[in-house]
Amino acid sequence: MVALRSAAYLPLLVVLSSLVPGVIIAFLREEQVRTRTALNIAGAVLKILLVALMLWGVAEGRRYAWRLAIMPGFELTLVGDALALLFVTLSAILWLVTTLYAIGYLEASPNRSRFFAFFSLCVTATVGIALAGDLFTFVLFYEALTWTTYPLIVHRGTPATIAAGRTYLQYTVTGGTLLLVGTVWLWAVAGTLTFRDGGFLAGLPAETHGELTAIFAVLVLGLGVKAALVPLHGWLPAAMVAPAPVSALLHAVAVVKAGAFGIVRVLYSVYGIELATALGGAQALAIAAGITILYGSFRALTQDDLKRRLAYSTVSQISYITLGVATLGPVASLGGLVHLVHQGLMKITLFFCAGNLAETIEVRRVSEMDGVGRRMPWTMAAFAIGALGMIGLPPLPGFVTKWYLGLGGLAAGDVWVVAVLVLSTVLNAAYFLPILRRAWFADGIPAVPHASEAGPLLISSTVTAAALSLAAGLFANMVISPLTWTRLVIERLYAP
Amino acid sequence: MSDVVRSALVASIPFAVLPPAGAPASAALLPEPGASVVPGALLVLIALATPAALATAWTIRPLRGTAVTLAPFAALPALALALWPGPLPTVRVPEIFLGIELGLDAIGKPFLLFSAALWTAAGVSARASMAEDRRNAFFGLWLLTLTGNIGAILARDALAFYLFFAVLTFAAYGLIVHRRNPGALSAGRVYIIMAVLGEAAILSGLLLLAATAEGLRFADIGAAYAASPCPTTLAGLFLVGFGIKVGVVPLHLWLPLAHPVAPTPASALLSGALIEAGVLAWLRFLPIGATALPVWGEICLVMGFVSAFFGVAVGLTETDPKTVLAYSSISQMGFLLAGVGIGLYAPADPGAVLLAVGLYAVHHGLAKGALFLGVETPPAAGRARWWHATSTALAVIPALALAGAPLTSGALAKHALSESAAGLPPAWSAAVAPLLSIAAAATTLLMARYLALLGARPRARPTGRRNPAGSPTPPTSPAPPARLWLPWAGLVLVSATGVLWIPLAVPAPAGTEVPTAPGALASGIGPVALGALIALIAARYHDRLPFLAAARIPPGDVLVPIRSLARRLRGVLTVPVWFQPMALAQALFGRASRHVLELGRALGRRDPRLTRGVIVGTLLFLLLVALRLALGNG
Repeated sequence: MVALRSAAYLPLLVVLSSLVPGVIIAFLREEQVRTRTALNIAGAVLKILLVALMLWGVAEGRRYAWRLAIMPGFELTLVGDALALLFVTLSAILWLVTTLYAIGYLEASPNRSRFFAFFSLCVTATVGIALAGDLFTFVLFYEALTWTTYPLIVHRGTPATIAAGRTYLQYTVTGGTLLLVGTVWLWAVAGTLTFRDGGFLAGLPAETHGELTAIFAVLVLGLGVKAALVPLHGWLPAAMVAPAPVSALLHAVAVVKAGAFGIVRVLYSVYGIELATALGGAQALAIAAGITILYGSFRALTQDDLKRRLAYSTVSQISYITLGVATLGPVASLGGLVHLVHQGLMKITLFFCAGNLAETIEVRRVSEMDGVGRRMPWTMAAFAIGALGMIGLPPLPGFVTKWYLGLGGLAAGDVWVVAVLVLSTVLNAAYFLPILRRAWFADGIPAVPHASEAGPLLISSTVTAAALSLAAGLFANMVISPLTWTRLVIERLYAP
Repeated sequence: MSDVVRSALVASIPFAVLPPAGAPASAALLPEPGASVVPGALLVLIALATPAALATAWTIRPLRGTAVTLAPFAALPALALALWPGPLPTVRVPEIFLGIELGLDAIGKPFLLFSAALWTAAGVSARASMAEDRRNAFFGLWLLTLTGNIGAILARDALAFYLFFAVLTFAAYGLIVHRRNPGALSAGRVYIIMAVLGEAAILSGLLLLAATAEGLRFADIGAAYAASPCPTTLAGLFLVGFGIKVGVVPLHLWLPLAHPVAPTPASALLSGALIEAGVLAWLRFLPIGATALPVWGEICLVMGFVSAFFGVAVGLTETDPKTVLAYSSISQMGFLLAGVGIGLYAPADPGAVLLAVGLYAVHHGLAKGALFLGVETPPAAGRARWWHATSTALAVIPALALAGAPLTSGALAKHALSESAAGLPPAWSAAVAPLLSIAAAATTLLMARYLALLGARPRARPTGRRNPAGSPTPPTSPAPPARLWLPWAGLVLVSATGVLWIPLAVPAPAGTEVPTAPGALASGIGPVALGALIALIAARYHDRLPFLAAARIPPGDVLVPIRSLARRLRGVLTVPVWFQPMALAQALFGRASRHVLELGRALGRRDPRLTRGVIVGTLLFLLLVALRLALGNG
């Protein structure tokens, strides 16, 4: 009995495991490096252990829920179900990897206490978004994410970063406001905000449908900013001036994922697939995602700045998730949801590599990358795994995503989904393969020292991320792979 | 948990290549009745795991030297598997990727046989001839390509095949650009662009196939076509997607560029093993014997013979023996495409088609590999007489085989191909045998060109191994070192004796038998004699026919105008084209119209380059007309 009661606190503990270290770090002095590092790593490891415990429980069929009434009619609700855990697990693992990377990356740079404090708070908000059991809690954490990410983007304090931060706030605050408006409106119509598999709006009478369609549009517009749906994506390429660990956080762990996950929640837990289809919202969203996929890839083609090219690649890739969940049927959703994890693993690898190149040998542009493979073999091997995975070559995880997205599209009768995927494959190849060719098969400037690999912390986290990417695809069918877990999620969503 | 999750999801996701619920988690051997299957199953795993493990070891620096030392022999377990007499079960490895199945069936066996032999010979040759500083990088990609090649042959389901085929395709890029010079990088660029487009076609095909298939095992492919609403589209996607690897006209653009620039052992593999992996893919992914697709059958037959003659026509104008061999490959792949066309046209007797294509693949892979390795070690002046005679024989024997001379593997393969055409409609079945004969004469001519170029070269090519201070090879050396020519001689021997062992080693599908009758083996005598006669006349009188000597087509033929068009378009394409239709139209048609004007002017002043182009073009056109007439009247 005691065990059961304490288990209910698990979602809260997962949130606290980064909140508490974050708050403590904020009050540490700059030179307390050891305490800060210990707190960071302890928090990250503890979170992974707690998440592992929840994963085991949820696989056994348990559901963790923790509630705190904060005002009449509104509760802070944290629920650990299969879908939430997909995102939580990704964030928890990548948080540890990114923390290690950030420790190595920011060695001896100023304001590290501030950085790591907000870093932890940012992950807290992300985990809160993942575990939110109702739309109210979701919105709270979603807003918190905006404000905890801003100090990270402007961390260096240069005019360029301040400008990028301003752009970021302009976009995300507008998006957040729209989300809030939609949420309040929804509460007025439905009287509840609690997520339910199959959607809590499913039972509403038909005369509310007009209003619900409008609310759907408002919610998706609000979430689409962080999910970087074209034309709401402008902040993402601008924010690439942030330090590499922050880019990793933005692109793989937290921000764009929060937007995509919000769309998943709106489709599955708020509206339900049937209602969303009946209202026409799902189809519109799928088409918007298809356009975004191609637009992002086209823009990535001509970017010479490596991080900017990667940023446009994110714009494109993140919409695979939206496309998958907005296309009807379990197979497409499997492809979309599993990409939440796959894209995170591959993109964090790529941004780590970009950070290694910039920090170690000052290479920031694709046109400067001739021969870097021989100078930084580990970094560029990791980059190759990430890039080939993004193109979607088997056995890398990008292919697994594409495979289920394509099959799902065909099962739903949407042949255009296959066309989008194939075209995107070709475009991804067109902007990633030249980088690999330069790095591995072109001769570089002879004056530079032969091998100049990045520091051990940077390399080990980069290689870990690459190895996780490779494993996610090569062992996609194993019992503990992202694909297997997503199958469980889909199974529970579609056959409650 | 796993069983619950799995069984639930197998039901909800019908296309996942998953084991049924309750299947053992680890590599499970599907037993067949009769003898013990364990050794065979182990051999299947070892054949694939050996190169894969060496490739993994290569990435670890302390183990890299060992991996490179062992790399030339990495295909030996596969060779043992191809010759294994015992039962060969299907091995299921559900954890890898989306679940893969491996095994060796009658279609895969001939491909594994010659591929493994070729990889070994080329590997030993590469190990001996390659400079040490470049050897490590070369063999890393070598091992990866080999893993892809063996995996593709052993794959028993479409996804596993696609997986290994992609590994093969992208790792082979590294072999092509190995020399890193502008020519190699440019050839690599054409290769990779075409490979990506091929992948796109294959991926589309796979998705369309899986959407209506019960499963993706190769055994289910026929049923999948029957259930598909668009079998013609499906077949088209696979024909084009894999055809880019095969290199038949008009998908051949990369091939004559890539083969000459790669190191010679890699060229031997590209032309022997890799392009034929695409042929294997056709046999696997097309509904040969299940669904008749006469439209594609006819297209394949026509394009097959067009390739056969086009390769010879352009190849005759080349001056680099490796380019000649590359065009010969385009020509030879035309025969295989024609064979596939027979299979798509008349599924009544699929066994004969599969046998013929398998035999032809073995024959061509070994002979072409031997011809390529021969480029590296030609007979050199000032060397011992015995070496001169031996090396000439070593070069001539595979050339005769490729032409289909009597008592060679070529005669065997061509006979089988000709026999398999029996099921075609009368017009085609009457045309195939004469066309094959004409093509054999043409091939003889092309081989004569290759031998002439080989003999015309004054001395051995500088091999990769650099002499200290650039000192030339000592003139006293009676013959090149054995490690350079032994793999070549070995491959020639294997190829030359093919007529003896191929009927024993290649399993005949049910209802067919491998031709061994003396009559079948002598069938090639007329065309080869005719081709040789023409070659002799041309050699005797070529100074009286200057246009013959002057005719030159740059490797890559039609790629040249395509490239110049692409160069013109590049300026426009940097800004999104759809925003400036006027610029696009100007680039496309403005320049085109200028070209027409230039063409007219050139005709007026009889530009010699143009004259050559017109001659070769006219010859090709006449060949096409002759082909059409032969078909129309047959």
